[in-house]
Amino acid sequence: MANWKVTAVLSSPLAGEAPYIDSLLEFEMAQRHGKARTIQRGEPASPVGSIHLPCLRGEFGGVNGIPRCSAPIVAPENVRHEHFAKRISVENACLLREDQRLVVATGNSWTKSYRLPLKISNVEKICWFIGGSKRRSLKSLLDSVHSIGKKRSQGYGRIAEWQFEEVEHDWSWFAPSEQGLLLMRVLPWCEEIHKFIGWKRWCGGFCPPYWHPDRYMEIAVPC
Amino acid sequence: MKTYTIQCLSEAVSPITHMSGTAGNEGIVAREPVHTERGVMMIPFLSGNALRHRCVREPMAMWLIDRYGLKGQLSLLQLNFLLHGGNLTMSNAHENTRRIAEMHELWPMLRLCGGSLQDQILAGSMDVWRGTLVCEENRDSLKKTLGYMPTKRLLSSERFLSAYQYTRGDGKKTGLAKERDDLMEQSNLMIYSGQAVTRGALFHHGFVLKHVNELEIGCLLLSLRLWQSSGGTIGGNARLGHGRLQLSLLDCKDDDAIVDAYVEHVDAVKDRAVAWLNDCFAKAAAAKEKKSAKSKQKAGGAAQWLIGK
Repeated sequence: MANWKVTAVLSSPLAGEAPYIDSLLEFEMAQRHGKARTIQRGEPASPVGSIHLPCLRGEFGGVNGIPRCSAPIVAPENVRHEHFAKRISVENACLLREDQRLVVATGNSWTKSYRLPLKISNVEKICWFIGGSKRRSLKSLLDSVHSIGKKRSQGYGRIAEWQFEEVEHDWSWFAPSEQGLLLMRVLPWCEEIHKFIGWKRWCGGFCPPYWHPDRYMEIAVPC
Repeated sequence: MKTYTIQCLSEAVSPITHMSGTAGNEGIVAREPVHTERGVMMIPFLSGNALRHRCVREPMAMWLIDRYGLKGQLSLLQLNFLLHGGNLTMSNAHENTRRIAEMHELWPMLRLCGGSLQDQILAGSMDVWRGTLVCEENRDSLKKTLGYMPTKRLLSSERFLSAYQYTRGDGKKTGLAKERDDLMEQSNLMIYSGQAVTRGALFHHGFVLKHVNELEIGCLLLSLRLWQSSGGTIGGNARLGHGRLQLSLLDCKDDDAIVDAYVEHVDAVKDRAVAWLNDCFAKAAAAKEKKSAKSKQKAGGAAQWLIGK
């Protein structure tokens, strides 16, 4: 077991935000156990830690099972917007059934045209720190991750290479800086958090699946 | 099941006009910022969205519609689903795993591209890369993906940019219109122009097929063949001969046996595939009919009440 700095080298622009590595690892592990995409927002989330992660977990603020993984460390450049437009296509109306050849309103309902903005940034590398893991375990899971972020099917966030570098210290939760100990990942908010710097009080998920309401609580987010 | 990466190199054999918008009446080619030694440069690219639709979804959906004799048999929802991925419109969204499993077996194209039924999102298994212009500014990015690049300096992206200009004629000049036609007082002549990526430019792009079997590879290869045989266009102004790409596969053989196996599979499951498609949209159609019958009944009741009054 060692501490690792994991780096994703990207070869195409990133859409949306960089993900937490524990969510990537948990999704890959869930896929291998047939548990991926089995829960929805309306259903209860599986207990914290029910899907094994190849890293240590710890307790903070009375909450157990928080993965020893840092938030993504990323320096986005050229942050901009691209747009996704959609309109109902009528070029092939001849393929429609006779009773389906109707006048379609394009101002409402599912046939409404839209042009949605998507945040895009140029990112060369994204780093994460992971505490107490094996290179082999991380590599076997992350080699299946070919792209990250939003709109992956359209070529955004393509991973050119995963790099693993062993580091001496575990900087997954806190890292030393000139001003003091810096918060490195989302943690449950509690009085103890005041010992650290670089955070803001927020409400959200503290471990995967981050989007699930069962994981929501008062948290401290790195900023 | 395995994950396959198919890399391609496409040569522009006519001006490529994959645009991002207009400035005045001049079309501007789509560009993306790229970090280079000389700072950030805006380099032309092809969007993954366009490549995905033009290379795979559209040619394969049209081929399947023809193969299954669905022309003139589809509802607007079904047509939108096959050609453009569909829309999630019903509020009681759920995951029907049997439906997904059947789709994987019966519709390899949908397994690749995914889509959205009215009540369920069907995840795809294919990531399509953006088209990267092979030029000096993109050297680092291409090297990361290809693993090698010639040591010789490549041409700058600006060397691949050109312009076009066309004129829309004026019917007035033919002398065939009625003399006293007020609309013909003004000239309809219009000059329009824009930027284009020149012939000879190369784009590197690719497809990542995640956890698929050979049927899906056959589906992709057949789609690419169909796309190429119908002109292989990307971007706008294809009607004027723009946007033609000549595709070459890198590190992958266009295997007849795999494509033939896919075609055989498509023919073998024809009836079940059509039944699956109809079944997916039957529930929604029934719900809609019920709703319209109810509203008609309601309207009829109101009318009777008015008459009675």
